[in-house]
Amino acid sequence: MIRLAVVSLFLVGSEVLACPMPPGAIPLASKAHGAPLGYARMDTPPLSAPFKIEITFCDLAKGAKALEFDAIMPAHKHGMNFDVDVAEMADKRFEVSNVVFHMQGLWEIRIDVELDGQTHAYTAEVMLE
Amino acid sequence: MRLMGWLLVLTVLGYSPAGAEVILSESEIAQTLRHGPWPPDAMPDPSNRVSGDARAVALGTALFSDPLLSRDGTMSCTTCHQPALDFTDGLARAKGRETLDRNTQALWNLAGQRWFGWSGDSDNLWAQSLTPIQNPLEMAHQEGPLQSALQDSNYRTEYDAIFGDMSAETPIVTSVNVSKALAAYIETLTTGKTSFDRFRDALELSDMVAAAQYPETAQRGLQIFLGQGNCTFCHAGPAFTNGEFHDAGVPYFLGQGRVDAGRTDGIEKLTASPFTLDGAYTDDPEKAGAWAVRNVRFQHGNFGIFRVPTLRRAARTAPYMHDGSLPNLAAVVQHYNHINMERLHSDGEAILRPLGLSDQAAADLEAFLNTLSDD
Repeated sequence: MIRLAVVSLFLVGSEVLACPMPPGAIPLASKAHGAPLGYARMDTPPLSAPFKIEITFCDLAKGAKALEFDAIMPAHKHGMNFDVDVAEMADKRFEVSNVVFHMQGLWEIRIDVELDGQTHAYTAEVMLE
Repeated sequence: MRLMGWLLVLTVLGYSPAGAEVILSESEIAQTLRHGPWPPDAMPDPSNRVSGDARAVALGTALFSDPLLSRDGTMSCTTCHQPALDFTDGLARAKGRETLDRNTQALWNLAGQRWFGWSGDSDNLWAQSLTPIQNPLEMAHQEGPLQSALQDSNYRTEYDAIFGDMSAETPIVTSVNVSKALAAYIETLTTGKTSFDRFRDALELSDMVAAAQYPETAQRGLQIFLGQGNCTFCHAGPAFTNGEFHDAGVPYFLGQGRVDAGRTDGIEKLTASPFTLDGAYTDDPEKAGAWAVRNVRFQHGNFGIFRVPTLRRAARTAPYMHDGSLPNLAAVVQHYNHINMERLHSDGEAILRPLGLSDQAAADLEAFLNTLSDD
């Protein structure tokens, strides 16, 4: 019933080999050159109910910390009605919980993460039908 | 055999022998299926230990119409939530000890909701039930006098059997227990299957002959609801609400320099309340729903927005909107048909715009809405 649509840009090249994505994962897009690759995994998001997203970064040389997460509906010009909770599950792997998409349509998730002292911004798009 | 074959073809195409047909596209049918099934399974409220308890439901039913719950014995829950009026009062704005700021909402289908009231002051049904008992402009009963009134009432034996010895508990606990009995009753108020639900269920079964019995004007209205009207963005799911808060372009000025801050006010009350799912009065040791009050987000755009009401039974609960300013469903349709964009938040919903519906299309949309209330 609900389809995840990946519209983000994802570089195809040698870097992908360093970041093997599990099936169904959503690549994170960054406009910054050289930003470490990362991806998001989630079950099919429910409408207007909390769910979890797992965020993983792949660059083994860089330690990740201080992840911030938000999401907006660009077409509707509003975001979520709740703050999320972020927990570091392992090195460069985070669990974002209490994500609530309260309307159907295209959501853009926005992630800022600090990797070795440098903040990188990522986006990905999720269609909630 | 040839006749049966043609009937099969006509059925697949959505034609019934009477000439009626299903006019929805495959995409619209998929969208329609998401507005069901109905009714949902009844689930006990883990924050209320007497949820689903028949004795508590009976006590709550009796208390609901008893003016004992008001300070001076002049008001009960039924003063505003009149069962004969689908638990509303028919007034634009509720009349407590004075005219209040908002329209009385019906009490149908509240079980399982995340927020309660127009501005979501409560995250559970028993806290919401306690609000009018304590509100100085409504029943205005303080905890001590309420406990005293109940101790001397005919309810004492039943109360003690359900909750334990009233004389051994604090007055505030008695008030909370009363609200939990009321909630046990109110959560039983669910609406039944409507002609829309029968249409939706027939579509799920691919029974196009049965589905084609749903009036074509309602089907056209449903198409507007799902498409051009963008109604389904907020009025989503089986209950026709996403349970959250949106700007509907209704003025929030109350006159004489007063405004109804809507969700902003609701969040302030919610986070200050001791009666949330994260508080000491919940019966759920897991505090399963407490994430919402912990994580609710203060936002500039919350000002003057209100909770999306269910559309089930809506046709029977005029007038409409948080201030009761629209007298009937036709007026609601025309409100969105000619919505005043200057009334919307600059950072608010970008999906609302004047719909430009013809008179026929507006009548179709109203016809669809009526099919959510014919149970």
